[in-house]
Amino acid sequence: MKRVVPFAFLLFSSTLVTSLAGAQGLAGTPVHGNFQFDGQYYVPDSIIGAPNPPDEKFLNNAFANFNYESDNFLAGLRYESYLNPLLGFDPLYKGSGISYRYLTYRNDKLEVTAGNFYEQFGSGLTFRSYEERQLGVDNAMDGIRVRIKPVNGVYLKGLVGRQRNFWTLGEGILRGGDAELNFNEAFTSWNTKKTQLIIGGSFMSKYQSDQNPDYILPENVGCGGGRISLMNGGWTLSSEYSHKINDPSTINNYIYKDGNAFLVNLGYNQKGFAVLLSAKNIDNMSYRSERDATGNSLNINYLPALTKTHTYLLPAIYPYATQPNGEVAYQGEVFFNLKPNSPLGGQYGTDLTVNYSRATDIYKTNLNDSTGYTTSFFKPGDEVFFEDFNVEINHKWSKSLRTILTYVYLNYNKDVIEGRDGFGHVYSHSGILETIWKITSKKTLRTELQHLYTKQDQQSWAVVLAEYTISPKWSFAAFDEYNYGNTHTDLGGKYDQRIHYFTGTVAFTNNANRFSLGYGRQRAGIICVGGVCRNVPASSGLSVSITSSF
Amino acid sequence: MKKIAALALLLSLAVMVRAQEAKETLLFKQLPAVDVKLMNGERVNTSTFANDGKPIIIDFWATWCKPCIEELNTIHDLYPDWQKATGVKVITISVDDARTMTRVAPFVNGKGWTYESYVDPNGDFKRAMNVNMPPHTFVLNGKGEVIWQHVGFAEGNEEELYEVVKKVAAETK
Amino acid sequence: MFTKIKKYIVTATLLPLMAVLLMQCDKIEGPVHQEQSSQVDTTCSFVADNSPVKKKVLIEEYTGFLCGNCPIGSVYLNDTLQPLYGDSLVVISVHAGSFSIPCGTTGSVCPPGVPSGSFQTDFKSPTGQDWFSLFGVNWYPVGIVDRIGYPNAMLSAKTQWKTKINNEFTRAPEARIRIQNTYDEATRKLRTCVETKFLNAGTDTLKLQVVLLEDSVPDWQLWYNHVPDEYVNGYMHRHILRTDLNGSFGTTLVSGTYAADSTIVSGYVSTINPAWDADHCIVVAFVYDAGNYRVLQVEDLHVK
Repeated sequence: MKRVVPFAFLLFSSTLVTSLAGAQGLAGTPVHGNFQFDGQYYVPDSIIGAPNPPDEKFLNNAFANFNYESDNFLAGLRYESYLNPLLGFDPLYKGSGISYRYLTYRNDKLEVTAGNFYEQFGSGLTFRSYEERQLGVDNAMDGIRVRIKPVNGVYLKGLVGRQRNFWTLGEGILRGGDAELNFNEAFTSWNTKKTQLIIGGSFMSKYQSDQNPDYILPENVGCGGGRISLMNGGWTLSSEYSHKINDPSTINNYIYKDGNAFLVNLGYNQKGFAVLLSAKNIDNMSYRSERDATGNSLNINYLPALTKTHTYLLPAIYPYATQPNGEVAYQGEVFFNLKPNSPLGGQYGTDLTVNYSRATDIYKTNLNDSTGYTTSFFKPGDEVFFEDFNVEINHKWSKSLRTILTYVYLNYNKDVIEGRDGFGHVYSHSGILETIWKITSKKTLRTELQHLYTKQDQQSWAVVLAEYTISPKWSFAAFDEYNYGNTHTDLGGKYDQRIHYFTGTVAFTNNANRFSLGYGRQRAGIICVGGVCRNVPASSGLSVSITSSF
Repeated sequence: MKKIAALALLLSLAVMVRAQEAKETLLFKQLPAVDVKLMNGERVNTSTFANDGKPIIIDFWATWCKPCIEELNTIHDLYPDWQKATGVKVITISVDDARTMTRVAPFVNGKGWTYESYVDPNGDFKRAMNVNMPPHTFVLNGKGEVIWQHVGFAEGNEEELYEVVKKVAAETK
Repeated sequence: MFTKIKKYIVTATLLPLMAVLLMQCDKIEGPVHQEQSSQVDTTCSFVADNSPVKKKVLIEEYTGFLCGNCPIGSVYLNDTLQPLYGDSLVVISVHAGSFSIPCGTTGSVCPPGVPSGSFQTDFKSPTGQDWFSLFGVNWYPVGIVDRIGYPNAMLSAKTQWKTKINNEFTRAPEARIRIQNTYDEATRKLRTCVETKFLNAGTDTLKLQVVLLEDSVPDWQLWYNHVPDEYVNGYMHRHILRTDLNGSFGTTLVSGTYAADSTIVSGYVSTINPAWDADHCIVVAFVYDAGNYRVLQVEDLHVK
């Protein structure tokens, strides 16, 4: 209670200040920020297995950022409040306070930041500190960072600090640096060359003391690598490699093997046509500020999944996450834009996208010693983790009608991806038809019909969604996610899992302010990372969301 | 105590909703100076974004954000007309991270968009502009001042956006 | 006119929000007093004893019979750590969360292909669920040693348990706890007396928590990669937390300054659930700091 009042006051005063500033057009006050509040009021719903809503009844996540900027000086802070955090967010977020604050000085060649900062070296295989507020991910650094541009085309970075872990800091002390050389900027002979070349190298080391009575653990664990990016006309080739020395942890079961990660992308694109091929090899690359951290906590590096992110409700039931202990993955994607008035393009043109991705484990030969196993570079094992083949056809029929037709085939290894056993693979076929009908210049109706067919797991689902928008301020949406194919029966022989997950929302947007109210049901989810499991329970209730930028 | 907090929350909401209107207000005197990247990895500082005294639209989007793609598709059909009438330039900033960033160039070219396109892989520019979620669109006037912003997209919003751009173009003449 | 409509729209959308925020009212319709499963007994007395006190450490293991990764933790705790420390280490195994929901009950995470009729026992307890919520347990297997590190650094992985237990043993004992149990077979009534003596003077708010465990209960357990079968019937569940004798968070012993050697005696009368085997029941009592939950001393005693 003591904390809610100051927070509410802060919110009130900040909005008062900024609304006054805006309304009177004060010559660009140098303080800007944003604000977001997500709350949910939970109701009992025994049909979905949520007969007991949380004791607090109302849970919420909120944050507000305030930033000041002038030519040479920047400062800012973020206040976060989770009293208490929404279901699905780590309960360790409970609490409120200033979670992010910084001071930065900069000039032409130098920039120094003291306090909290986010940073990425290359693609992040060695180091990436970032935030994804909607997923509850935040491994911000707390320390000092220096960025130097000594001459044209040379970019140097150095940093020291510790990572955020909810309301505290990880034990590990991180220190590292990155150097990047852009040939075309640095060398006059390259200035006008058609080929563009950028190379870079990065290094990171973490220190965590060894207090373990059973093992002799390495206290300083270093990780480093290099990257290259080549571009010529429509061709691009980029690649990054990172190597980590012995790093026994809970995630890799305390083995002493080195780790490495390799990523390569080859693409060709011209107007109306593009091809992209990617490949990745990961071998024992979980790298965290604390040996025993699990879940989303304290990741030092970032291993991207090489699969398409599905935003439609049904294919998103089976998302893939990179397996840091070992994975070989490939992805290929082709984009076509069939021009207007071409044979297949129709009057307004059609966009066609075909995408295929596949992830398998690496081939391991087990050793009965502390090293764990050996493997070869880019040698896949037999077990398929994930396979995704999808086609999307986006066609505009007239000035007011557009349809998007999508097909998705997924092979989802539920045991490996969710870290459990006894579930096997889920093979599914999904078809989605999305229609956008512009009724008048201001009113639009968007509908989605989705169907997912599978014989495993919870079996088949269907979704019907409708969204009606009155530009520019109002939006009304309703959807039903129905598990019609579920053959699970209760003791009386009745199908008890054929549940409708219905949700309705209303949203009001005014420039950079958005306010929405929704009511409905949410499915349960479960995830296991590195031998450790978590559950997100099903829930039902009223949700409120407010976002604003000022 | 609880009631005071609830009241303060409601009051601030009311103030917020009533105060901001779809008219010009000065949001940023100039764009925050942040390094973003061209799709080939080359760094460009946002302080170099300019359009010869004519209006600029800056649009934050991502390859996984459907309303963003809708907005850019809708504007693309009208872009030639808009450019002829106002000289406006559209700059797109993709907030895709390492997972989806390599798809940005093929995506943009595959769709045949002709916008000036950049990527913001670790969200530095997004944070400096206080963007919460894409799509988030800004309009800059001839002096480089940020005078309008909008979140979300629904068909028809492009008309409001164009009104603001036209007004800005008329002022700078 | 348009401003009127705008105002109306704004109020219309604000009202539900207001309703939501102000609905945080739990109207209590009598009875007002909590139904106590046990009653206080004031007839306890202890004989003086000056033998040296040794520090004992408490470890709470959070687990569930459908948690396939948990047996590795439990086996390590019971077969490796317990013999190492003997009776100086007191173990409580808390079954809480989704992995303890029996198969067939909604919300259960039962894999397909479980033998029919398996995983039906409910090992959860209201006490365990309360601890699970307060300490933010959200992954398994998890151990909490002497409840140190509240609120953010309590949960430890199996690889950290030994280090933390060793660290706790370096502390000098701060209290002595003695337990007396009297059990009547016929009525299943248990009379528990607990004596807490503070060895040093101090100023603090300290609470006493008394709970009842049932040990060695054979039942199903999911055990990933176990041979020959992952569904293990007859797995020996140890130290299961069954209920509390004085509330989920105990009763306050002292709040303020207390002298060295000050002693407080507490007594409880409760009835042991007929489904539990009294031969394997254990009473555990521990003293902890009301502010940061740190356990100062713990003691256990079999019921019979």
